[in-house]
Amino acid sequence: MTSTSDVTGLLIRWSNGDHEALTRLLPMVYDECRRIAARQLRRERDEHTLNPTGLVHEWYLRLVDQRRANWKNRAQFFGIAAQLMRRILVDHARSRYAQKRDGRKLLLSLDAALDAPIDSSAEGPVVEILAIEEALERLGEQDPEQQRIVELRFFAGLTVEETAEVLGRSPRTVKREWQMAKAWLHRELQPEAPLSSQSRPKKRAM
Amino acid sequence: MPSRTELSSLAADPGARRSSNPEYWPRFKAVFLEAFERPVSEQSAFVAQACQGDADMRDDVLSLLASAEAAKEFCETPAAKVLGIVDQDQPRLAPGMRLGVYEISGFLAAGGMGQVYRARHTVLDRQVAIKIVNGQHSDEIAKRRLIREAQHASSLSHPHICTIYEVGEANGMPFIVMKFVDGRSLKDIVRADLPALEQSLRYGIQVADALHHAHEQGVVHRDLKSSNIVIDAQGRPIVLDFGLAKRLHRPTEDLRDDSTVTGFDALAGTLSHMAPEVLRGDRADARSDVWSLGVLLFELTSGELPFSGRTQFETTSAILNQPPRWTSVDIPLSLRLVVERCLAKNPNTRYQRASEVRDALDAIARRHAWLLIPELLVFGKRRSVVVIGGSVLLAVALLIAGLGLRERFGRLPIGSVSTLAFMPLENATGDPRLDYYADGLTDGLIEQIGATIKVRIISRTSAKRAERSTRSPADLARLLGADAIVEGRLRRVSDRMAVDVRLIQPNRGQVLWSDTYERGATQILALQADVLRGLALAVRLAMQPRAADRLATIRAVSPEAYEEYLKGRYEWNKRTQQSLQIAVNHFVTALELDPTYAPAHAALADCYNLLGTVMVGTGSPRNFRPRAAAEAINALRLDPYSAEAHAALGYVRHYDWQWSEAENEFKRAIELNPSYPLARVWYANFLMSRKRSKEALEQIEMARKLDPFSLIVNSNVGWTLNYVGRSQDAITHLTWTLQLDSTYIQARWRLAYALQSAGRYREAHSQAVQLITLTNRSPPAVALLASISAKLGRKDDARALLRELIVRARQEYVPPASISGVFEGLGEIDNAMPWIAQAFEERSNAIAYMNLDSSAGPLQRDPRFQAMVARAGLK
Repeated sequence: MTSTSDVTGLLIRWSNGDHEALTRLLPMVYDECRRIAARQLRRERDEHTLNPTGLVHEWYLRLVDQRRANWKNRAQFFGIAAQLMRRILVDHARSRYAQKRDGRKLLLSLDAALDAPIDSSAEGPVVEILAIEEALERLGEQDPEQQRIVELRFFAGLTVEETAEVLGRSPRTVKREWQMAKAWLHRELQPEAPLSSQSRPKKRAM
Repeated sequence: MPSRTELSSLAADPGARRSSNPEYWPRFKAVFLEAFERPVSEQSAFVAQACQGDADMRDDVLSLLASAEAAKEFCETPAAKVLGIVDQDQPRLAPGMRLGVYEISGFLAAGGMGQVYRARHTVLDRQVAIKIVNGQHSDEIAKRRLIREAQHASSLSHPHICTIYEVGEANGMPFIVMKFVDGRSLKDIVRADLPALEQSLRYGIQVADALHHAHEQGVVHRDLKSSNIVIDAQGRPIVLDFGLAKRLHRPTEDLRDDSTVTGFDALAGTLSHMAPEVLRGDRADARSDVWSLGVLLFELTSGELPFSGRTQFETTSAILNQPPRWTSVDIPLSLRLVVERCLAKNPNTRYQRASEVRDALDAIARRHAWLLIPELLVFGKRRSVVVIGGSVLLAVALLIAGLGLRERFGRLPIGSVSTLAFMPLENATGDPRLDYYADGLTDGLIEQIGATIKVRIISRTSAKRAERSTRSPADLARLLGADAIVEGRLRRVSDRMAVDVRLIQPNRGQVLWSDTYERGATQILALQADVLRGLALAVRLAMQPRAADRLATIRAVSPEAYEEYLKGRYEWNKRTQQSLQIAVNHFVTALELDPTYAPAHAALADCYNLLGTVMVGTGSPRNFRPRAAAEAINALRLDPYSAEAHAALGYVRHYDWQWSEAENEFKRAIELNPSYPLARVWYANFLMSRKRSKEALEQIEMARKLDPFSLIVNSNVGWTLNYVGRSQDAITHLTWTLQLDSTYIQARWRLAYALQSAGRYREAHSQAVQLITLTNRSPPAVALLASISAKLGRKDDARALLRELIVRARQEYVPPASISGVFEGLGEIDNAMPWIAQAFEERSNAIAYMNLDSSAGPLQRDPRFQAMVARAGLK
C-alpha cells in the first residue's frame, strides 16, 4: 500500500514547484485509487451509502496524511483525483464497450470486480460517456479550465461549491463556466454537423 | 430566438479559421457569458451588437446559447451514476403489496442500508415498520448481513431502543419487522423548535442509556443521529435503526465474514456525524458512538451541527481539525464541557463509555435548578445579592463582590474590541503533565498580545477563576468586563503541537474567527506568533508600534529550554521563599540550554528582585539586586522590546533610589506592553513611595482591570489603598482577596498591616499569628507579630520575639528593617538605630516606603536618622 506520507510528501513537493513529483505521484495514486474504486464499486452491489463524491473523498482520506494535509494539498489532490476518476471511468466504459462489441468478456484496464454485467441498457450510457470524453478533449484544447470543471463536476461528481473550492474560484464563476462547457459539449454531441466554435472530427476514434 | 435549424441554414463554414485563431475563444467566451446572463429576449440583439459584424461569431454564440437551453440536464448526473456503478436506486414497494403476512401500507424512509415501509400484520392487525435491504436481494452477502443485523438488534431490549419483532423472507426478499413508532423524529423536532434545556438533557440521558445497553451487548450503533431517533407519543426518545450496527466482539463470528465487515464498512454512516477515527478508516467502536452522541447533544442544545461546511471537504476538515463550532450562548458551561469531551478528536481522551456521558448529564440535570440562581444574581441588581450557601453560589457571589468594585464598561461593536478575555488554553493532549505547558503558552500569548495588539487583556488566572464558576461566554464576558473572548486548546500531534483558537463575541455568542496553527514542538514561539498574527487580523486592531519588530524577533527556542522557562514561571507565580528558589533553578537551567533566551533572563531578574524583599526574601538585597540588574540588562541586550525586562530594571532602580531612571523604565515597559499587570503594580508602588497617591491609584486600578482576580495584583491594591490612608477599603479588599485563596501569604500580610493602620490590633495580631504558621516562622513574620504585640501593650511578648530574631540573625538572613521596626514599636530608638543603618546600607525595599520626614515620629526626629537620609541622598 502506498504510504500516505509518501503521497503527502510528493504533493507538498509538487506545490513547491517540483514537477517531477507529479510524474511520480500520478501512477502511485492511480493504482491506489483503482484499488479503492474496485472495492467501493463492489460494495455498491449491496448498499448505497456512497456517492461519487464519497469515492473521491475516501481516496483523499486514505491516501493523504491528514496530519500534514491542508486545504491547498486537498485542492491539489482533488484536482488529481478528478483526472484519475475520469481515466478510471473512461477505461471502464471502453472495456464495457469492447466487451459489447466483441461479444465476450475482456478484462481491460480495471479490476475484474469493476466490470458490471452488460445488458442492453448499458450500451447507451457507455457510448455517451465515451462521446463526452472525446468532446471534452477538444474542449480542453480551447479552455483547460472548463475541461477541469467538467472533470470535477461530471467525472468526480463534485458539487458546484466543491468544485469552486478546488479551483479557488467563486461558485458563481464556476457555475457560469460549467453551463457554458455543458452547452458546448452538448452541441458537440448533436448528430448533425453543428455550427461550431471549433472544427470537430467527423469520425469517432474508439 | 431563431431555431437551431434556421441557424444551421445560416451557417457559413465555421472552419479552421476559429480554431487556428487563438484570439477567437476568449472573445467568443466573453460574449457568450455576458449574453447568457441576460434575459432570453435580449440575447439576440446583444450578441449581434457585441460581435461587431463578425457574423460567424454571432451565429456561433447564438447556437451555443440555444444549446445551453437544451443542455440544462446534460451531464448533471455524475458519470459513475450514468454508468450505473454507484447509487443505484432500488425500486420501491408499492402500497398493497404483500410480504408474507404483512401488507405494505406506505413508504416511510430510506435508511443507511435500506428502505423502511409502514405495514400491517394482516393476522394480528398490528402496525409495524418493515425494513428492506437495498441492492440485489439474491446476493448472499447482503442477505446474511441483513439477518445478522437483525440478530444483533433483536438481542437488545431497552425502553429507548426500537423493538425488533422478526426477520422474515418473502420471494427471496429478506426483511426486518420492527415496532412501528408513531412520532416525530428528533431532527424534525429540533428543526421546528429547540427543546428546553431540561428536555434536551433528559433526551440525552435516555439515549446515552440506550447506547450503554447496546454497547454492553457488544453492539455499536455506528449511525446515531437525530433523524434516527423518534420521540414517541409518550414523549420518549426511541433509537431506531441499529441498521449499521456491528458486533464488537462475538467469538462465533466467522472470520471471512468479519473481514467483509471491516473491509466494506469503512465509510458507512453519515458524514456530519462521523467520528474522526472512522473518517480515517479506523474501526468504529463504542467511543465512535460517544462522538455521535456528542454531535447529537450539540444539535439538541444549539439546533446546529458542531461540524459542518458548505462542502464535504469543509465538513471533513472541521471534523478532523477544528474544535466544535459553538454559536449559541445559552448553553451552560458544564454541559458544553460534557459535549466537548464527547467530541474529543482522540478517542482515548473522550468518555470511554456511554454510561459516563449519561451520568455526567444526569449530574447537570440535577444541578441545573441551582445553576439558574446565580444567573439571576448576575443579571439582577447587585445591591440585592443575598449570600446563599453552596459552593457554586458562593463563588459567584465572590465574583460579584469583585465586580462591585469596578465600573461597567461600555460594550463595543465588533471591530473595536477593547478588552479581550483570553481563556486558559485547554490541554487537550490527554497528558496532564502538559498542563503547565498549556498554561505557559496561554501566558506567553497574553504577554505577546499585550505587546502586539492595542487591547486590554484579562489574564489567564482571572479568566480561569471566572471560568470555574460561571456558565456561558456571555456571563464570562460580563464578569470579566470583556468585549470578546479568546478560547483555545492545545493538542499534540506526534512531535508537533497544534493550537486551535477562536474569538467569540459573547453577547451574540457568535464565533467571530477560528483557526488552527500547527508547528513543531521546537517552534513554540513561532506558534505563538502565528496565533497572534491571526488574532490581530481577526480583531482588526491596530498593532502596537513596533509590533512587527517584535513578531520578527520571535525565534525558535529549544523545547527543553522553553519547558524549563514555563516551569519556572509557574513556581514564580506562587511567590513563596521556596517556590522562588525552585524558579531560579528552572530559569538557570533554561539559560544553560539556551543562553540567548531573553525571557529567561528577565524572569531571573524578577526572581532576584523578590528574593531580596523583606517579606519573601532569603537574603540581603545587597546580594540580589545587582544580579537582578545584570539579568535585566542581559535580557534587554537580547530583546530591547521586552516589557518584562524593562519593568524588572525599573524595580531595581526604584529600590536603589534612582527615581527618574526607575520611572523611565516603568513607563517604557508600559508603553511596550500596556497589558502587563506587574509593570503597573511596580510602577504604582513606585508612585506610592514618591507620595504620588492619585497616580499610584490609577496604575493599580489599571493593573486590577488587566487581571481582576490575580492574587498578587489584589494584594497590592490593598496595600496601595492602605498606604494612601484608606485602610478600611484596604481591609475590605484584602478580605475579599483572601476569599479567593486563603493560603495566599502576601494578601494576609497586607491585611495585617491594614488592620494595624486601622488600629484594630487584636485582629492584626490574629493575622500575624496565622502568618507565623503559614511562613514556617519566617523572620519578617516574627517581627510583624512582635510589632503588633508591642502595640497591644504586650511588651514581654514583643521582647521575646525580638530576642529570637536577634539570635537568628547570626545564623540566617533577618531583614534589618524588620528588627529596627520592632525596636521602634517598643519606643527604643537607640536600639533601632544600628539596624536601621544596616537597612539603609543594604538599600532595603522598606526604606523607599518609609516616611523620612523629620516631623513624622521619634525615629525620624533623631539627627542620626536624618544624617542617614542625607547620606543616601534622599533629602
